[in-house]
Order: sequence, then C-alpha cells, then structure tokens
Amino acid sequence: MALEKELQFFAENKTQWLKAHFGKFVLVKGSELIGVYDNAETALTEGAKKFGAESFLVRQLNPEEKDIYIPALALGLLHAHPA
Amino acid sequence: MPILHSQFQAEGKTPDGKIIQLPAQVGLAVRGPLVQVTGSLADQIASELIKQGKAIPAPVQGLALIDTGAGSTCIDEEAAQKLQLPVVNVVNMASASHASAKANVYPAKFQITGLPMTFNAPMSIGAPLAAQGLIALIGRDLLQHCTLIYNGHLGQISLCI
Repeated sequence: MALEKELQFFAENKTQWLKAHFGKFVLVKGSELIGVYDNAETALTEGAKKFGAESFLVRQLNPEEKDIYIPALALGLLHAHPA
Repeated sequence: MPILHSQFQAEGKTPDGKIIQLPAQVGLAVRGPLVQVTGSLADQIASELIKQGKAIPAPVQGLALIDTGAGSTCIDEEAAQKLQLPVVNVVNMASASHASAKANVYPAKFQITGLPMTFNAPMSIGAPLAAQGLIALIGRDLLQHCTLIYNGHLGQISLCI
C-alpha cells in the first residue's frame, strides 16, 4: 500500500493533532510532520516544493473519516445494461 | 460563457448483421454523458516541478463520464501511473459487494476538449476505469463550477462554465 509509513504516523498522532488543528490539513512525509495548512491546495504546493513528484500525505484532521461512496463504482453500475 | 455542446451517436446491428445508425437519444442513454478530456498533473505540483527545472509527464487523453452521483472526481489508475502522479492520500472506498477497499488519491487536472479552461482536481481518487474505456469520472467537485443540461429527448448534453 502507498504511504504506509505516513499513514501509520498519522494514526499514531491524529488525536493529538486534532486537539490543536481541527479541520486543518497536515503534510506528512515518512515519520515527520512537515506542516499544518488551512487547505489541501497549500499543503500540496508545500509538499511539491519540498519533495517534487514524490508521494507524500495530505490529510484533513477530522474526528470521523467516512468511506468514499461513488455509486457507479460501489454498485458496479458503470456501463451496466439490462440484458 | 463558454459552452460545450455534444450530440451523441450510436450504432447497432440488425439481426442480419447490418450496421445501422441509432437515434441520438439512444446513443446518450447507452453511453452516458461522455466528454473527451486531457488529464495531467495538478497545478500545485506541476508549477513547483517547473520551478525546479524538472520534466512534466506528457498529458493523457481519453474519455470521461460525467457522473452526478460521484461526490469526488476519479482518475483511472493506469492513467495516473502514466502521468507519474504522486500519491497524496489513501481513502477507503465503499463497495456494495465486499468490504471497503483502499484507494489512492492523486493530484490531477483535466481539460475538457471544447472548453477553454482546465479543472484542477488535486484530490482525485484512483479507480480501475480503463476496462470501461474511461480515464476519469467527472464528479460533483468539478461540476460545482458548471451548468450541465442533459437533453435526453435530443441525445445532447451542454456543459457551461
């Protein structure tokens, strides 16, 4: 899985970060918090400045992380036709 | 106001194998509201790479389905690999048939052919779309900037910015 290290680091620190930065976006590379930003776009720009085209984690600090639901994909309906 | 106007076409086969043109409304109903798009790296990443003197991967062209049911825009996983997009998040994608699966999130950008502007989609969700002949699903995160008219009777769509 991509970003395994970053996701583990995020999970370990999320509770603490939530208290201080609720609703903001963190930028994580490896096991390091690079910064906290008001929006995803700024976090992406900062990530690209530091790491170029390498992968890095940008994630909003929310208490609940809901599953993404795309009906066409979740239900396998993409281009489904009645027989 | 820039407007993209598309008339859909479809072909069918008669029992004796003859190919015939079907009405436009059938074309739209069968294929869905498709648009030709060019996918590339999101502005936030591309501009930094240019500043650093690094090469930007060549854009990828293909079809995108306008999907008003999708909250987020999705990019085909293979197209994301071709564009060498970095992974910037991993999300859980719900499924009706099995447990939710992990999906990569990519910083992408799309230009819809026929419209003179690009749509930045910095948090596009990776999904296996190539088997359906698609490189993207255009979701409500991009459609929030547009007016979409779906004219089923005439087999036409109009997309205005």
